[in-house]
Parts: sequence; structure tokens; C-alpha cells
Amino acid sequence: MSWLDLFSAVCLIAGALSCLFGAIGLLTFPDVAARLQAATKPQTLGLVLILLGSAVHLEVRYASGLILVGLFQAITAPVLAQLVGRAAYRAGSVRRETLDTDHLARRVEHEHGRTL
Amino acid sequence: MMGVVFAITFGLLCLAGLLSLVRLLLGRGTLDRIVALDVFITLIVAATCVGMGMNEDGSNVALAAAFALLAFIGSVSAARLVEKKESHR
Repeated sequence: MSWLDLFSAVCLIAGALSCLFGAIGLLTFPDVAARLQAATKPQTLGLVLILLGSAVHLEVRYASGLILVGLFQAITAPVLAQLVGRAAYRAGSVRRETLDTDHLARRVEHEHGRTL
Repeated sequence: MMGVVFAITFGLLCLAGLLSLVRLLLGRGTLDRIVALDVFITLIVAATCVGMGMNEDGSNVALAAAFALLAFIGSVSAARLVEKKESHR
């Protein structure tokens, strides 16, 4: 049981727990905007940790491929969150009472000439 | 020892996948299902990577990368479609 194995074990367990908490958030959070938090941040953290844990056991060329996978997830998750969040807002799926600040309301009013 | 760790990791990922499937089925709208599906595919990518580490065989790395990209493209396309539909209402 080397230090590398211990590092790998901690990363894998922590990553899986992070993904699990994200999935729990998907079920318990109130609206689409809140669920996006659960869908993007814990999943990305969990995936990167799992990639670290797995890369320890692989050859260098495969481990560098895993870097690409982590990079894809880290770049695409915020883009997805922004697009889904905007679509949810315009579709009326976002609960207004859960928002502290709403900068998009003014612009939407300007576009539609009415109040949501 | 590492076998137990991999088993625990797989178990947690399967449980997370199950929960996201529940959200997929119980979704209150299209966007909820889009988000749940994206999470589910991310979990598939994670499980693939765990499998690679367990077998010490990295030949599936291209599969994991392809899944990650496909999840992104599919979810963004679906979100754009929902937005277009709503703006024409």
C-alpha cells in the first residue's frame, strides 16, 4: 500500500461522493437555476478527482488523454449552465422569489415591452 | 485494498446515476430533463475512467472524451431548441 495508492483511493472516494451530492441536489433543489448548480459544480469537481485517482494507475500517454477529458468538462459545463439558465429564465421556469438580484429582467422588459 | 476502493467508487457512482435517472423521469419540464441527462452522461464518463484505473488499461480514453463532448453538444442543442420554442410563444 504505497502513498500513490492512498492518494488514488482518497481522490476516487471523494470524487464519487461529490458526484453523489450533485445528484442528490438534482432531486432536492427547487428550480432549474438551483439544479444547475448541482449539475455543474459538484460533477466537474467529482470528475476531475476521479480522473486524478485513475491517472495514477495508467501510463503517461493515457493519463494525458484524461487531462483532455477533464478539460472538456471544465470548459463545457459553464457554457451549458449559461445556456440552460437563459432558456429557463425566458421559459419562466425560474422562481423569482429565490433570486437576490435579477439583472436580466430589465433587458427582457425592453425586448418584450412588458413585465414578466 | 484498491479493489475495495474501486468497488465503493462504482457503488457511489451507480447510486448517483440512479438519482439522476429519477430526476429524468420525474422532471417537471424539458430543461430539468436536459440537466439530468447531462449529469447522467458525466457519471458515465466518470465510471469509464474508474474502469480504466481499475484495469490499468487506458484504451477507453477516447471513448470518455467523445462522451464528454457529445454530452455537451446534445445538451446545448436541446437548450437552444427550448429557448427558440419559448421565444416564439
